[in-house]
Amino acid sequence: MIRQFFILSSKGDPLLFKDFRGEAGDDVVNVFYRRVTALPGDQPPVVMALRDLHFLHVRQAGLYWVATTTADASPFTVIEFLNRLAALVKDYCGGLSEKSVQMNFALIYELLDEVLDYGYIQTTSSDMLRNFLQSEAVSSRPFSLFDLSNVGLFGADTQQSKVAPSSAAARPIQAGREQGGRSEIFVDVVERMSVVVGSNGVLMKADVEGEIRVKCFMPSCSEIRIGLNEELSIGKSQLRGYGAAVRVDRCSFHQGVRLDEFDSHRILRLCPSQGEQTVMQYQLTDDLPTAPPFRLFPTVERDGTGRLILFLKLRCDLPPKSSAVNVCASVPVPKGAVSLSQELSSPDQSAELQLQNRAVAWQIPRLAGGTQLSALFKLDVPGLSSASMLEVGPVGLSFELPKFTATGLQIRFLRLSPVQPAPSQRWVRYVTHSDSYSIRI
Amino acid sequence: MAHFDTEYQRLEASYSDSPPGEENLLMHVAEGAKSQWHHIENLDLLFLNTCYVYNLHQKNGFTCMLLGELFELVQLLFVVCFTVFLANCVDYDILFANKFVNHTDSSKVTLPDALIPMDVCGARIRDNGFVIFVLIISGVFWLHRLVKFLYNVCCYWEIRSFYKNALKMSMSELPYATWQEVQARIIEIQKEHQICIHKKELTELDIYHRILRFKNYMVAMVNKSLLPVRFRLPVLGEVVFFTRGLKYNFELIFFWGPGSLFENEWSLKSEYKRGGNRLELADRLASRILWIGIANLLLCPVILVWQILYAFFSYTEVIKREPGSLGARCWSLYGRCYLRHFNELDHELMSRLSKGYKASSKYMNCFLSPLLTVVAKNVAFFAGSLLAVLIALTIYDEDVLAVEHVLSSITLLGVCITICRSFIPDKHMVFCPEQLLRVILAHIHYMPDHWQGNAHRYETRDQFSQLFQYKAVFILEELLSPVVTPIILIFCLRRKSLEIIDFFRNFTVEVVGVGDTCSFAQMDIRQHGHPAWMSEGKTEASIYQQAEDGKTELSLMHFAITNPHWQPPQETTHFISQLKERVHREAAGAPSETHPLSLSESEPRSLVANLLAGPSTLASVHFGRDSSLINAAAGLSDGASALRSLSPVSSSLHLRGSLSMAQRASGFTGKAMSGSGTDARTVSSGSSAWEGQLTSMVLSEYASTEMSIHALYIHELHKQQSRGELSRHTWHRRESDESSDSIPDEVRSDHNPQSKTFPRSHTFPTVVSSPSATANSSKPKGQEEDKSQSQRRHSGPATDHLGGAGRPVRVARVPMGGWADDGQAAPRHHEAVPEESSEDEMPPHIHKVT
Repeated sequence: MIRQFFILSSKGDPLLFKDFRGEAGDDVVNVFYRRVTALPGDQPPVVMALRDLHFLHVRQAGLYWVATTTADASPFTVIEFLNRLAALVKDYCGGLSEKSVQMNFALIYELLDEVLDYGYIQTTSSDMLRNFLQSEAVSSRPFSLFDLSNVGLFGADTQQSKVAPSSAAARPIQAGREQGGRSEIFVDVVERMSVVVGSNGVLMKADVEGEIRVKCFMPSCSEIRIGLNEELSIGKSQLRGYGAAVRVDRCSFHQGVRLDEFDSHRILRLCPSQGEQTVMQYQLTDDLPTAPPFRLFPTVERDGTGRLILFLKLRCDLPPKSSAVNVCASVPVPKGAVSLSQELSSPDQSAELQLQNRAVAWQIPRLAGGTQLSALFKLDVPGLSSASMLEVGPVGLSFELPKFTATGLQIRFLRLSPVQPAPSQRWVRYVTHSDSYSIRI
Repeated sequence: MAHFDTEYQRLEASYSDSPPGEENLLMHVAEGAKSQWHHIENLDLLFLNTCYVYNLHQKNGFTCMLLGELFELVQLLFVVCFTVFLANCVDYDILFANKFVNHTDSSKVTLPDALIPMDVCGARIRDNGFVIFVLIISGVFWLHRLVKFLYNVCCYWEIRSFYKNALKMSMSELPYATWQEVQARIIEIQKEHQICIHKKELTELDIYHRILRFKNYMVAMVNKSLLPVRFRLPVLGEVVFFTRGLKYNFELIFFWGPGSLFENEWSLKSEYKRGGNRLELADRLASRILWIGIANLLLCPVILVWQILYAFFSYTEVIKREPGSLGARCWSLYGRCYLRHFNELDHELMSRLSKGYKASSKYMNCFLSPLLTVVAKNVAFFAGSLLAVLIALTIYDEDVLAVEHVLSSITLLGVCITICRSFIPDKHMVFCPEQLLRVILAHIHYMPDHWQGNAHRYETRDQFSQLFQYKAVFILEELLSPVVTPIILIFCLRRKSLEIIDFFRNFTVEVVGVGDTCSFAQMDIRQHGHPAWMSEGKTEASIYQQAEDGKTELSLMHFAITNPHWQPPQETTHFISQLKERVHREAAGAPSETHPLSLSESEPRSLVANLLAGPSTLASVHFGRDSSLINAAAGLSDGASALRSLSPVSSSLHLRGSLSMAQRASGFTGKAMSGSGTDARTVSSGSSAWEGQLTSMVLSEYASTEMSIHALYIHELHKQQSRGELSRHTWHRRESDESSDSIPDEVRSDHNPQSKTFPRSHTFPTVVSSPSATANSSKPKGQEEDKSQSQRRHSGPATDHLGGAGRPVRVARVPMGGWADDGQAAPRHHEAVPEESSEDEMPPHIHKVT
């Protein structure tokens, strides 16, 4: 049983507050925010108790989603509910941000009314809820030139027909007529890499966790069939030929996925509900099929004047056609570093010394496969000793690899049934990003 | 969740709108250059028929192929019609002049006289039921061929346009292009056009797999002695019977006949990949074999008649022209299977065997029996004297020819003399079997262990003759084949159905873009290497999985050498480079000392000469370069002595050098010449060769020579290695998995008197089964095991020809750990074959996620 529910912005402003039982305390919101911020560190405990009232919260998109309850509710249920609610809000509003929540507060209240009745959870199925919700989402789409290119003068084949921006998927499931309401389906193959590279360049740990997410905006779709690579093999047991197989160690599926064709043809069948769902999750442990995407060749020196000189060479080992975007290398530096002078190889890169993290962050907007970048950082560290040299490293990398999957998993095809009358649009996106990619120095 | 900048790409809608459930093979590949090939589906189908691409190349282009097939059809028609005509429409009485024709003007008999008039002849045919029957059968057969021909023409027409448009090769230049070139173009085109849509890049291995899918299976089955082709007959001893008809039937049963194990050309039926109902499947296979055997039996008279006629028409002329050809030899069909590498194309095998032909026939000729020689000499003498007299009389007065049977006796005597002569050894021949055998080995690459060192024995010769048989025997076997084939199918092959099912399940892997292939053909040392063949420590194969005779290793070497651009997987690369390095090291070490490979003593010059004579045009180059190398290395100036000390290793070393040099084209020429500048011959011959065009033909010649050397080296090393632990290996093939702990047996086998008589090793497959073996295998398992154990005790490494008291006790060939009999053997079998349990029916690792 949930007593109150509220959403706080990251600064503590209440965006939404609903009291289900009519027994709201004086100001639970402020109490909660004070307790959350009072705690040091980045991650406050999910469940906090204040006398007989329990606060449970999750953070999604920088917002605090908080529910309060008395001792009788199962915390896991509540947490699961909060996550689910956030997903619903995301589906219905098209995106999750402070702004979208503010703009769609009416819709969210409506949603809450349907989902929770007197503090008891009714349903979270988006297919059911669709019938009850009346208001339409207000989405704030920033004006972009990209939309203009969509026009397609003289029937020309625009870029739009080949690619769609990543924001295209962020649209409410109940779009108004003016927003097009196209029937579209988006498939995300997202992989997270956690890699540890030793100081000698040896790969010490390499894990990939991936998931296939389907975002469906098709009112009349009863079943989709997603074909994965036929050579996908699961586990180590399967005897395969030399053909570089796509291998994952473990995988798990959404409960609605039917697997009758998975064994023979690697086809997932599911009846998607509107909105987003994770169809398949998989893991690959300690055995990347390709070389890790980045290698770093660091040189750390101390020059005569007590300055620390960091020379970093970053090599991208992706295939030449693909590239990495939003690469950020953060190098921890010794305590007391005060200033940074830098020599970067191109103007679009940037580097700054983040004093609160005691790290140098080197930003590279784009790094093509097979290329190599170098950077020279000179740090003024008063009182630099050889002991503080040891504080340098390990380097953490964050990046995004578009159109690339570390495991090699790909969507072979996507079939809809019944066959859609209107030309439906199917989009797929492959992304690999870094969970933690650390290179020891 | 994080926000990504990555854009969505459109999933192409090309094939996705097809109704669900209908599985077409045409999948879209997410990335990759699109091209003007609009009919991807056709191309991929076409690509699945790479065999056709290869065949068209081997048949020298479309026109040749078309004409060849057309003439074959016509020939067939001709054979049938002509036979019927001969049997029914010729009045032999007139022809033999038993009956006189009442011609008025002259006494000459003309050919038209001998012919029976059309209507009479037609009536005769109509009355004769048998002729009608034969005619109908052959008509059906011919129609079948015609349909097949038309289908082939369509296929080949498409392939032709593929050659023209995609590979940019016209049909006229096809006969002069090597297969390597075609293959290189295919690989190139795959990069551009993605003709095989399952895969980005094709390797040579993929192409070979597609072409040789079934042949690889056959080779592997022969290698693992799965096919019943060896028999022990009461009088004849051990014989190998493997004819074209039998082979056709095997292929019919396994690969493409109705209800065969393969679903289509590239994939095994899925039920055969599961271990669950193997017994049931084996039953089904057995009954299928039975039916095919019965069908064979029923059709036997027709096929027999056909075989006889065909043999008559195709060989009579040859025999008349050169009667010696009956005494000539040819590689038997079994030999071709036994000697074939995995992934070896027909033309490669052919050229290899043809190179070994001379040495082989020489070797066989060493073994003329003295008794026969004496007889033949005398027969030849008497026949010769008769012939001489007859000829002399004819010369004096040619009316002698008109006397009845004089002409025929002259012909007969001539044939007789020719045959006899083939039994009389050449006076100038030197008896050096060991050496010859080594030369043969350099070409054929496979040989049972026990042949080496026993080359002079008659047993070796007999066994070699199984691979290299008389042409006459070949023809005879072909003639016998219709009768024997059903018997083999019904009584021998049927019993093996379970083993066959297991074989196909255990040794089939699915390779992307290729389909199901024989896992042996992957040439993975790790999975199929044999520890006694250099892959010690690298192989993880159980005994059941090991390929015999070092097949995996040698095939791998062969493939790597013939396809230098092929990039093998890592372990394999390691193996190859290690082997090459070893060869190199041995060579660099002390060529004149007695290192393991010092063949220089046992092999004076014939081997080297032979090796070098292989690429005959380049012999001089080699020669020159050889001596120059020796000059540099050993400081010997005398050419002859250089040759004598030249071990194959050093020649290999430098052949490899020259090979790589050849690949690097002529950039190296200057250096090579300056190094050998002292030798005038080198300069002249060298320059002409190096500056001349280094075609791929030349390269392939080098490759084959290099392969020969590697084969020799591997065999030598194997011999060395197995000498220490001979007995252990001897047992491997007999009782697979118990052998490791059977030390007492080894000891015993050493004092076994039999082992002295003729050490036969396991590597030469022995008789597959016999009545007693049947009895064995039908006994309960425990007993059977007992038996085999005791059998092992008292028979030693020799197979057993003297086994028990009079009765030939043979092991029931339980090569796969004794699970051939029935399910009882399952627990033992588990360790040998990682059996798929029923888990595999479920998708692995299913967890539910919300």
